Amino acid sequence: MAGGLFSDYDLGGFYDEAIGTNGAPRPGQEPVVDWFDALTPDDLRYHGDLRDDVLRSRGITFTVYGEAQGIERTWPMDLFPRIIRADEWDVLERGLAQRVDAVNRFLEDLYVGDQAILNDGVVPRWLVMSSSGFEREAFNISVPNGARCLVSGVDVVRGADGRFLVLEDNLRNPSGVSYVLENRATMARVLTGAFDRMGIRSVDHYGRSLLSALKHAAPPAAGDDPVVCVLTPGVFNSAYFEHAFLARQMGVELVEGRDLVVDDHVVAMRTTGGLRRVDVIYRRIDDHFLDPVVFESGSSLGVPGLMAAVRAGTVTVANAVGNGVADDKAVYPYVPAMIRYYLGEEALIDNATTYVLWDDDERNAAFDRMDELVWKPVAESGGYGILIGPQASDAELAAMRDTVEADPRGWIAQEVVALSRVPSCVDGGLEGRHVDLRTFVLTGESIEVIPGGLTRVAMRKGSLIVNSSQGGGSKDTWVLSEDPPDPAAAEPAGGTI
Amino acid sequence: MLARHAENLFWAGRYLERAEDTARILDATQHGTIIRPDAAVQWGDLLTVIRVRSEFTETGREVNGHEVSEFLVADAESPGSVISSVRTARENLRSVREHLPTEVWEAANRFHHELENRDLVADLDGEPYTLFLVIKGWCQTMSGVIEQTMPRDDGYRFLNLGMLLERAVMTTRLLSIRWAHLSTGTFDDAHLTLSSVSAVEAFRRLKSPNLEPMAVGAFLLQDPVFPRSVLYCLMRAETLLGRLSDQPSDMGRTERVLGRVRSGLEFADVDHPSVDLPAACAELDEGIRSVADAMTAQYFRNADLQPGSPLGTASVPLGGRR
Repeated sequence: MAGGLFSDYDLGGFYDEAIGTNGAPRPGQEPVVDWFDALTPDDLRYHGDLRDDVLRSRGITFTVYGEAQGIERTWPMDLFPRIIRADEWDVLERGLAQRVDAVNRFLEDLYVGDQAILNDGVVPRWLVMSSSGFEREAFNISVPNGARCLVSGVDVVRGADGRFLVLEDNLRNPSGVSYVLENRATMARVLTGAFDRMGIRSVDHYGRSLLSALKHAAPPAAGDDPVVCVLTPGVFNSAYFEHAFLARQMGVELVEGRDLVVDDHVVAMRTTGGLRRVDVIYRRIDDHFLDPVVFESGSSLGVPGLMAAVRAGTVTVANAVGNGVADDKAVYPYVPAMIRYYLGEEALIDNATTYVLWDDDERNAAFDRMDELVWKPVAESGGYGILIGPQASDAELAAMRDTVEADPRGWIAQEVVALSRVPSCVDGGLEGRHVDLRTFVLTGESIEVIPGGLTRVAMRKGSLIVNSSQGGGSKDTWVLSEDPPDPAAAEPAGGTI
Repeated sequence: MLARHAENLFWAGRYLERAEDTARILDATQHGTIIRPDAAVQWGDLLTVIRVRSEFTETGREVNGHEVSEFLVADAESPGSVISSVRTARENLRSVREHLPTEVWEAANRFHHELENRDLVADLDGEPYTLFLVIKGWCQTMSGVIEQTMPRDDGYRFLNLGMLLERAVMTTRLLSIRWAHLSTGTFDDAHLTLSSVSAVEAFRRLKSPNLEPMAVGAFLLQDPVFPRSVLYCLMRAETLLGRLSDQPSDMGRTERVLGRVRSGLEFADVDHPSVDLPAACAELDEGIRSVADAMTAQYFRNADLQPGSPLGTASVPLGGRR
């Protein structure tokens, strides 16, 4: 790498996924590193312009709330891909499937089972019952095949040693998968042919897999060819692009609440030819807006009578109602225990080190080093409400301490993970930027993990915040189908076929 | 298909057609004022064709070529302007994105971005011809991509029904407005009227090389093969309507209304000197709007829906999909 874009690349003391501490590309990363290294800053800008043109004309956008001008923004995708080796992915894939399996069982146990895990004291009963995600309306509503987390979006990160850790489980309405597919399609247009011999695992089948999982979850009465639809809050929702994308990928209708009616516990959509029965609803509306009869009575997003129909078993709603209890961040520390309890296995992927603040000892210990920890509200997602201790002012920390003291159940503290970095295009050059990974796991006939997922990248120098609503970007994520033989590597490479 | 989606496609079609027709009429008018000095050009008439005269008056603009063109093309506040029509068409398409082939959506995006990125006012002052060429070109790209990539399902049909009804209304109103000049006027008046709907060559070939004013009216209303004549649009709409899936077993109300309007036009004596053409056009305009109203009631609002439809029965495949 003499004189190329990588010539003065700075690792910054972090774990860099592309470049090892010796300055050479890590195994599996060479073709991409070499290809980028050979570019000039102008080449990089040229490809950046091409990418912007592709994204704009394909209308790949997301919506930022609270901005006066142009709520619609072009999706930010960095050109440098993130590569995950086949052997690394193998562990991740099995670990994610294991985790989702255990969580599905936990939710079944809780809502339609004997609550054995609570009776056995593995997870504190009071903790579950006090969760804002615990939904009494979901009691005794069975879900075909127990596929409660039909789509899970588990967030994983790599720390200073490169090991994967689970940061949070998103089990309600995880979004982002459309960008996984669009990033891949965009990369194929922008870097045409550059990496066609690398053996990158395909993500194109997601729509088929999702549809098959949804049909698998249909009520038995639906017959051989259940009618599936996607329920969206509407065109002004920040994830509307994705809702339309998924409906298109599956070839099903994208409905809003006003398109559905419930008659005698049967759900139907209003079509140009009258009412048509619906069997499975992939809903992208939060629990509390699903049905004004039992939840928010003032909301017009949902469908009156929907929950009664779900309870009558004429329609399946996915993800199931009440999943929020399992991605409550104060319940998350118990997931490894759930894996042990239900599966008799040890977790293949660890949690990030987490302190539960309702425990007096843990809370006081955490208060002693407030400025070293990350503080998170238990029920939020999307990075909202988070305080990063090392970057917070004394006043912010003091306010956080008051907030936690008033509601210790409502917060957790975590050790700061020194997020791994991946080279990213900045001003015609390459600089390391911190990344995380939103994975997508489907519970259908079996549990399926989509190869890769959405790599989110904090494009601001030094930032750890990767959410697109807060200035984050994304990267196409390549899982290698087979690791290239690497004579320099100490361990034999991959070999998974 | 979903009633709401059908309605959005219908309106996307109407707005796209409106953008194209507006550009076409403005282009012909601007061009006409230069090379056909004998044609009587009333810029205010264009506002009537697009039905935005009162909105125009509210802006306090003066009725002249410059102001009218700017209002009809570049005024983002005016719902009748080209830029608004394209924006609204794209919004409608976005809400039915999953029904559209990617190429249709991409074309709509590129069209929208092109107009947003241009300085339309400067274009109108400098090279209006190029601007109109761009707008018409994009509209034609849109219809071309729609033709080439959309499956012939109900989505395609509702989109085209919107285009056809809008085109029929625009041609009707244009003729009604131009008639005062056409009936007493010159070759240039006939030429300007025909070129506003790109019909000069078609008329010469199908009818007469001499642009005889009276025949022009009959041609634009009743020609069965010229694709921008009102009769052609209505016949084509009738065909599409009849092919919609999920039709009631007896004739639906929209088909009856459209059939009446179409046959009324088809068998009318419009080229007889005693005919009051503007009055006939007004009646036709009203008739076409009643077709749109019937569609809204029957397909978009489910006004004919009876409670107790066959919900308890097994799932029925959705309309328009195989």
